[in-house]
Formats: sequence, structure tokens, C-alpha cells
Amino acid sequence: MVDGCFIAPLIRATQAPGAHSHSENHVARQCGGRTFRLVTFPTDPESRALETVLNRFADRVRRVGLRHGLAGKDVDDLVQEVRVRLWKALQNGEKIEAAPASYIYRTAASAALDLLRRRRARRETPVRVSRVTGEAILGEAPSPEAIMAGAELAEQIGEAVGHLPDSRRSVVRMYLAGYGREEIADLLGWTEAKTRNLLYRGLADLRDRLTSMGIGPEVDS
Amino acid sequence: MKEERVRESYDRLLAIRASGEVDRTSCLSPEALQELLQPEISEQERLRRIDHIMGCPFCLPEFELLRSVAKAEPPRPFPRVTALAAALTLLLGAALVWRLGSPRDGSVLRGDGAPIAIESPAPDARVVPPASFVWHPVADALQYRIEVLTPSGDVVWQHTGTDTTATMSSDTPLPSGAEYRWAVVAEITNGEHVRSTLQRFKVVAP
Repeated sequence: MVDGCFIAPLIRATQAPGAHSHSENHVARQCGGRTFRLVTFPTDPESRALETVLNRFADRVRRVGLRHGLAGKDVDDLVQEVRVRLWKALQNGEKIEAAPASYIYRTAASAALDLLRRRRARRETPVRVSRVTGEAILGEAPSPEAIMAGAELAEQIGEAVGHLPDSRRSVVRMYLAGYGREEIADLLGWTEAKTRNLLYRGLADLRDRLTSMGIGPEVDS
Repeated sequence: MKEERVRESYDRLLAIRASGEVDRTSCLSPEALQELLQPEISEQERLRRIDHIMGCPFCLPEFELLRSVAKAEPPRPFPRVTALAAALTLLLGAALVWRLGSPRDGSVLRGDGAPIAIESPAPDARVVPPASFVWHPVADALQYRIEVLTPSGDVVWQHTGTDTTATMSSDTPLPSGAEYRWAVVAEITNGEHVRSTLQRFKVVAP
């Protein structure tokens, strides 16, 4: 996506019937050879109401997303989707402000689905933030040196995990991907005790498997 | 090999997979990712899908986007009339506790603040599966954890979420005539926990 192009639907939406003119506090952005005005500091009641609702929504998603390793760009794109939908669906500022939270989140869930569908259609590579290192993995090719260093070991671990029994494999994968025990239990709908048990056994299986592959335990230096 | 090193290597594996040619033919659809956020999906199917997601550098961030939206939804506001009725029930309950003294069987789970008020099922209610639970929201609650236990204390079902309602998944069979206990714990932003009292219900056939 060309930088600034995401503003196009917003501008069209703000010029929709029922929306007031945003003649002040704007900046010009280029997109596909055309100039759009991006409203930066909306002053009319409709925009203020919408921004209040959206800021509240964005804050919550950002806060939760931070814990879930969500990239900031994803939240920005989603908020933009929701903004456009709200403009289209709601008639005036009063209604926007009065919209129940559940409505906003239903809209957001549906907008998130559309966002993913569109990205897939465009073959965009999602940004993954590593829970282990906290770094954003942009889907770009790492340097040959980086690939070589530890690549063989990474593949061997992937193979060893792939051979674990079904019920333990998912738990171990989640754990290795940086998920905590409570989060794993929540996602699988298991009790904490069951999760702890299967994770413990799965990690023991993985250790045995790695040892049989010649990848032994490390000695603390 | 230390667990930390294994984790780093697995992380590297995902990065390597992301750097290759993008082939998403075996990936889950966005709808299939979103379905995982619902409790209705069977355990076998849940494991199958999560197994793919946790090994796929493309599905993983997509799933987390959908999950973050679902997790961010605040608990639903409580209707004023129901809140008034609940407050009245609480008042009556408090008066009863005051008259009877402290519970002798130690069934009250002690929390850091006032216990979470339960909306339904009512104490000792007869419940037709699937059992649904409703409680009052707690200020500054990050999430709620509900547990359903047998009389001997074994957890048969557990769920964590931001909503103030929860319905047991059909994966957990509740035999008719069986008695269960349940309680809900709220995790507060300051790291403290608020609990409900332990409730009882009996399963009846539909």
C-alpha cells in the first residue's frame, strides 16, 4: 500500500451525506497521483464523538495486543477499518457516542476479518512480533549468515516437535512460541492442571527426542 | 539443551519459514481462525488448528489480531433494573449471613475486596446443559476466570475471558443429577484478585 493511501476511504466517508465539511485543520496527502485531505484535528461534534469512541477502542486493543505480540501497524489498520464502517453505519455524533461497546467490538471483529481477507488477496506478508525476543519479524529475508547460524538446529527442533503426540504437540508449540501456561489453558479450554501436566510431559518428550537426535543438554558455564 | 535456547531456535524456525516463498495453501481461513475464539469447537479440531497456527508465521499474527479484538471487549454494562434487583438480593444475602454467622464449611473463597455478585444460576439452582453463568462486572477487571468443580474439588471446566458471562462447552458432559460448584475470579489492573462465593448447582435433564 502506498503511504497515505489508507486515508482515501476515510475522506470519501467523511464526505458522505450527513457528514459535515471538514474545511479546517487538514493536511494534504498524495495517493495514486491524487491529493486527499487528511483531517488531523477534527473539530465538529460528529468527528469528535467518533474519535472519542475510536480512541477508547484503540487503547484497549493496543493494550491487549501488546500482551499478545500484536504489531502496532495492525492496530492502526484495524482502527482505520472500524472508523470507515462507523462513519457509514452511524448517522450523527450523538448516535456514535451512544453506540454500545458491544456494537463497536462486533464491528471490529467483522472489520478484522475483512482486513485479513484483503491482505491475503494482496499477498501481503503479515508482521509477526516475536514473543520470545520482542522483535518484529517483518517477513523479509534474513541475511545468509543469520539463516546459516542456527538454522540447522531450528529445523531439527521443528522436526522433533512435529513428532510429538497430538495432544502434547500443540501445547509445546504454544510454549515455544512464547505463550504462558494460563494463556495456553485459556486457548485450549483446559484446566490449569491439565495444561501443566501435558506441557511437562510434552517438554520431557521433546528433550528425549532431541537427545536421541544427538542434541544433548547444555552445561552451564 | 536449555529451554530458552529451544525457544529461541523455534522462533528462528518461524522466521526462516517467513523468509521463504509464501505458500499459504495449507493455511486456515480467517473465519477458521476466528472460530477458535468460540468455545463450541471440539477439542480435537481446536488442537489441529492451533498446531498449524503455532507453526505458521503468517497465521500466528493474524490469529493474534482477531484474538486481541475479542479480548479487548469490555464486560457488558449491567442493566440498571437488574442491578437494583441484584443489589437487593445481595442486601438480603448479607443480612442472612449476618444472622447465621460465618459459613462453617469454609466454602467462601476469600478475595482482596468485596466478592463478585452472582446473577445466575441462582444458588442451588437446577440447570439444564449447557450451563451458562452470569455475574456482575468488577471495576478495573482485566479478565475473569470461572471454574466449575465437582463436590470433591476437581476442576471439570475452566474458562478465562473479559465477558461477564460464560457458557460451558459441549465437550464437558454434565451427567443429569450430578451436583457441581462454581466460582469466578476477577483479575484487577493492580494485580489483585476479587472472587465470588462458591455457588452450587444441580444438573437436570432437558
